Amino acid sequence: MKKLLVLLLVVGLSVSVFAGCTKKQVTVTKIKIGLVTDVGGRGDRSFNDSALRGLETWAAKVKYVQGGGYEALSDSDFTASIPDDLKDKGIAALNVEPVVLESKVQEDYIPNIQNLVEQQKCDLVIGVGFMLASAIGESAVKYPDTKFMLIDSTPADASGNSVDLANVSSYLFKENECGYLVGAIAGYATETNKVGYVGGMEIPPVLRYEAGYKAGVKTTNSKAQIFGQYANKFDDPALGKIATDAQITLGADVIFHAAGATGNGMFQAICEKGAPYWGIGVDVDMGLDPKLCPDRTVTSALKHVDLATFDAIKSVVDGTFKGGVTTLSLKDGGVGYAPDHVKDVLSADQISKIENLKKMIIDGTITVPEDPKAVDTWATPTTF
Amino acid sequence: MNILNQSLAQMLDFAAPILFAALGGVITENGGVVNIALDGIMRFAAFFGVWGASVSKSPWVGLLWGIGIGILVGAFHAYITVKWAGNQIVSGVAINVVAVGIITYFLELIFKTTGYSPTVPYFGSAVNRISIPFISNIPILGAFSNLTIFVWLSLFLVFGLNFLLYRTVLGLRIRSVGENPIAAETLGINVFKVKWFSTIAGAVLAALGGMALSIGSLSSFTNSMPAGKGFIALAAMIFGRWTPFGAMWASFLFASAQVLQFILQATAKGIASKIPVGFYLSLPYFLTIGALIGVVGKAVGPAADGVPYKKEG
Repeated sequence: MKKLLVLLLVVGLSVSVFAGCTKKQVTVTKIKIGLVTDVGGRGDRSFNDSALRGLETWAAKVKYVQGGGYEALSDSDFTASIPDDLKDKGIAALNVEPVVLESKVQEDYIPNIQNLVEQQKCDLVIGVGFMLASAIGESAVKYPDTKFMLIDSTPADASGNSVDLANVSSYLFKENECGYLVGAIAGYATETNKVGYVGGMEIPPVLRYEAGYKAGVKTTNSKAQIFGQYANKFDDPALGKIATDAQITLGADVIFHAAGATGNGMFQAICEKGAPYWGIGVDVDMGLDPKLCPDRTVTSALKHVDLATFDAIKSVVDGTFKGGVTTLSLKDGGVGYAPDHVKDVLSADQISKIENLKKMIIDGTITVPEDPKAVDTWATPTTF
Repeated sequence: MNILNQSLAQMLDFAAPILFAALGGVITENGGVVNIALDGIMRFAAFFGVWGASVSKSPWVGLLWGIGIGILVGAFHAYITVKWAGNQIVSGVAINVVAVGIITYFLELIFKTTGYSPTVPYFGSAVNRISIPFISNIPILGAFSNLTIFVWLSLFLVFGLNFLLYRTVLGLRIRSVGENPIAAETLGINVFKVKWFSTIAGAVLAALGGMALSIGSLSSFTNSMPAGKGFIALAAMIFGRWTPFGAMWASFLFASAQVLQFILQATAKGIASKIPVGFYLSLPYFLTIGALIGVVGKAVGPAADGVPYKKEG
């Protein structure tokens, strides 16, 4: 028995040695781009997937094969992957090779980054999400010759203080602006004058969504009551479902979530109840996702993490990479709202008012608050 | 009154997965086997339930698949801990860890997606719910007018398990094996058989808990499932002093606090709206700790719980 075990071990070890050899057939000419997801991981239907689209689908023009590896993407699939509002952003395949590492727990962030820099020798390492702020911050100090991109936050040191690093390019979004527009739509869409909001955790991007949403509802429907809730989890749909059910019980008929996978529970609750309830998606156009609730998704607050990722990669390929902060807003098409069912719910007059509000934000007439606490004292625009 | 009924129905729906798993813990641990694997078994069954429902387009087939995997995983746990008297914690942790990895892999392999399975037919859809329309407007009773089969099953099983443990010969044997296996053996009880039974039965109950999430309350498998509910169930079992009714009240307390905190968060006005969200979020846990200190007193488990049994000589 023991001999057999030893034999098995020897065979196992030698196989793994050879397995190591075959992996090293890498074409050296391509620029290597590493990406570390946050715990949401691949398939979150939200911003991790959005960042992966920017890297894999657009920059590298490849398709992820389930279980690992890539295959080439056809031209028609490539064109179809670019949403209408980004057609004019110059998205075209670049000469890059993606290396994606998923994080299962928060403790994976730093080892994953280290792996991408030391073993994979990536030129650019992308950290997806606010949760990676200090992992990217610490790594960028440790590896000053590697370029880093951070989504949703500026890099932070070990104690969480924001730091300014020459080799880190941070991309922030004005979630409050797209949150404002979907809030304005919700204000028109509600028949009970009660709307709801389900947040994941109280982190800056989610708080900006909340602030924008509340300000938007207040603008188009001053009578509306807003129920706000935090689930304190991004990964528990069961919790999102009871949060939504509680709001529906209290009379809300339009509900918006910024809660990652927890928000899938919101769509489940809305789909079960059906009309007259409406859900509003977040980050990506959730009205296009057949697995959620496309029939009852009135709109989605869009945040183009994919575009930001693509832009950052392009700057590395072009040699124009710069450290610092880039904030994407309505003005540059970095955020927006999806048309989904807006036409079926709002009148033509109301839609033109939403478009007016959008123009007023772009030209600076309206400044949408970023802090939910500031909404109460915020003066709503009277003519639009 | 409508709000009360609906909130109560939501509470029962949210409590069901926790209650099933806690009942699973109750029967397994009364038989003297520690079952830290509740979370892992829930995850296995949540996935297999969705898989079965997806293949057959029927949630009933999913239910059978989930029970099947529950039996298999339970048998594995029993094989390690009963047959070979292995460390029960190690076996349980192993099941939890394997569940995280292998189900993530299966999700990609079978559904060709990551993160989420496609939606499948489930027990929460209008046709599959057990509808009793004429009681819907009666206070409290109305909460039971439109529940899923899982919620009803979880409630019946509380009574069923209580009957089994305290009113039948088998129940007496299970409890005696958990208290003092040597004494039980000398009285002619086959300790191993009883432990095999209670471990597998517990795993099947935990499996129902997993499916109460994936094809009961929701209609797809999410890779984060069951998001720690197996461990909450473990706490509910201890909090409920290893009894079926205790586990039920503990699960209900936790679930009502969860529903209540959402309602409070949503309706907070005036001074209450200045209370930080963290306060509401910690409410379920505070209530649980408070009840544990004030009401329950000392929680004492079966004497031989967690002690591997070996025949002497």
